[in-house]
Amino acid sequence: MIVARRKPFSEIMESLEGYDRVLILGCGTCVAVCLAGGEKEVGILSAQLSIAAELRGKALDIGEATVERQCDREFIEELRNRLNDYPVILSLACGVGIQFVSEMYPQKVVLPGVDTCFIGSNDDVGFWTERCRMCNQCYLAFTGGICPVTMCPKGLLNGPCSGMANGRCEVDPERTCAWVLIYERMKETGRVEQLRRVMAPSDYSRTTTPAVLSHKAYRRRYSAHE
Amino acid sequence: MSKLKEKLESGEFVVTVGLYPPRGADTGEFLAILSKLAGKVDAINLPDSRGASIRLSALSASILAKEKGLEPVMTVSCRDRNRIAISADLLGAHALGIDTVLCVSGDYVSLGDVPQAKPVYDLDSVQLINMIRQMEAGQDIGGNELKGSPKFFVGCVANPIADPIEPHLLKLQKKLTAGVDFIQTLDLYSVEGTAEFLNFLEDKGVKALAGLRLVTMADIEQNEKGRVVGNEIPSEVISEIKSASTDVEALARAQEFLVAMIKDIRAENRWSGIHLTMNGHEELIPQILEQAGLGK
Repeated sequence: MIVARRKPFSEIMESLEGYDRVLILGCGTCVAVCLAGGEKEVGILSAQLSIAAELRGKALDIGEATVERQCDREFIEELRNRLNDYPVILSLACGVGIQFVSEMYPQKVVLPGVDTCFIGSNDDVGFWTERCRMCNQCYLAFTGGICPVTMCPKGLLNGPCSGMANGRCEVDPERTCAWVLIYERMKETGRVEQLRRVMAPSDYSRTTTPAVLSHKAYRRRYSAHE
Repeated sequence: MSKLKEKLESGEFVVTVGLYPPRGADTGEFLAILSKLAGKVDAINLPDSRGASIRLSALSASILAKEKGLEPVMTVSCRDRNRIAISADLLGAHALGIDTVLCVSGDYVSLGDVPQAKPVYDLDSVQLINMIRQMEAGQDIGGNELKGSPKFFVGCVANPIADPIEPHLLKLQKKLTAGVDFIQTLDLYSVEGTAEFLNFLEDKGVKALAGLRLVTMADIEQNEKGRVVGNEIPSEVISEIKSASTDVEALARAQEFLVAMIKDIRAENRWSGIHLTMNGHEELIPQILEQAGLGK
């Protein structure tokens, strides 16, 4: 899932300077799970903004709405009538949702209410960890299911750097070195010999942005995009 | 041709020393140290913004060292440049007569003075060594033909007491397969615990230089704060140096320890030389080498 963190309140206040009507728009999927931009967080931010506006003697008309997904056209389309009352939309979706809303309603000012952090796992209540850098060339078959691109800060593909000390990472000694984890996992599964394989430099031409992907069954329909 | 290569191949026990290029445009002090080191050591390592702190570039520092009559070992780090920039610098280095390089991944940016910088790591050290060998064979890393190919004497870094050692040796083997010529190790404070590493290197045909350090109070302070890049300084070394009543005495004890380490390394008969880090006390090198029986 995509993990995001709500922006600091002061930054949100600053971005709303000069506007008197805003719709806070939540997203019911990833950002709801990571407690950054779901229906509940929309309510909390709305209350905070109301109080702050009142304390400053400013009039601020705040609307609240949450859709299932801001990254899907059909869910944003259903908002069209509701949006008429608001020149400004403060989106609590990830960067994808924010851009999608902005694209669909180009006459509106669409502002971000969260910082999109990473894609990761929900390890525990209120705790998420990054697991994938979306490098478009998965190495997990060769690395015991542990991603060196993500779990090693340097993204080293051929083994640990010399900064590894007592099995710990040079960058964060609280963490076990990703390549120690990979070695142990490969050993456990009888695959250490496979670690002798020299991994070639990554092909970054595969990650030129903005990426586009069409399912092979729909290639003809979307050929104009590729 | 690399003079370091000539010396190592002749079986001479070599002495290299690392010297940080200046942090700024004033090269006066740096040049003065280079002048003093000329003729005293076999080669000088010029780090590539080591510790992720901005310094005069390794290539420029290597040229300055060469102009002072020293044999430069130019560090090439993967941290700050992609494969295109590194290749261009390598061609430039070759054109300017720099033919000995040390290939490293590079200390991570968050350990340095500019943690906001973008880490690059387009290549890792194994891929970098392979790229250099490919350039020597007449092709850039994109497979395009080079008009004239460079030639380098290529080194890498290893840690003989890495814990766990197995994943470290798996990577080192990849560097050896890529054709690395020499190894400079992280700083060692004892010859204990290096046997597995040295046994691994036996018959590999690579020359290994033991990293040794003149331990300063600043090192000890960093060590005690847990901010060590490399191996930790053992507590007995720390207490020996710290118990000195004056700075002069602390330095003398560090010097004594270093001399003893050089003797131990030589006595093992398995090392091709030593790589020194002198922490600003480079003037002591002739005296230390003399005391260790390595007077030049």
